[in-house]
Amino acid sequence: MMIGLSHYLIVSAILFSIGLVGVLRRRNLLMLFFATEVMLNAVNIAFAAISHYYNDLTGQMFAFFIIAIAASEVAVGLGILIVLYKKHGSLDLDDLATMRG
Amino acid sequence: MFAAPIFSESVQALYPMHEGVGNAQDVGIVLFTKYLVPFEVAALMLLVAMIAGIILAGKKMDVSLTEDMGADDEIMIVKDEK
Repeated sequence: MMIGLSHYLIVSAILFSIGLVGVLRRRNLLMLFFATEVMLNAVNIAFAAISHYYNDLTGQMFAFFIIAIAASEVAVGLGILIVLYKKHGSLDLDDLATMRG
Repeated sequence: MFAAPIFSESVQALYPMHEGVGNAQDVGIVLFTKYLVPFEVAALMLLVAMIAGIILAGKKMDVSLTEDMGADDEIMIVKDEK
């Protein structure tokens, strides 16, 4: 079976769904970060596949910049996570509801 | 976005790939010519994120997360007695 564009897009959609379910259902803040990373990389797969399909480099460039943005987001997010853990002693979202939202 | 490659056949390639040349070479040429300014902005963003991460993670590095404060004090007392 030849692997075409639709297979890559299906994989990307499945990964994005997994990430979305993770964001919605997880209670641990660290797992939430992992889920956002899964979603970002699913979009990267879609960009690279469509870029290859069109013989156009723009999608791959966009995927590069998405990777850079994800790296900086994780750096700041993990710093905030460390501060939260030092303050509360837990990363559970139900324990962190100090605003009673 | 997922339906775009199915329905739109009239999309023109903005930066087309070249046959015979490696993909990495094409990517490098486009990245350092057309996308040079966003590349530099991304580098600056990564630098700012690194500094922010170090500042956030470096606060109170002398306080241990795993040991409680009592054990820390005992170690200090033992050191003082010696």
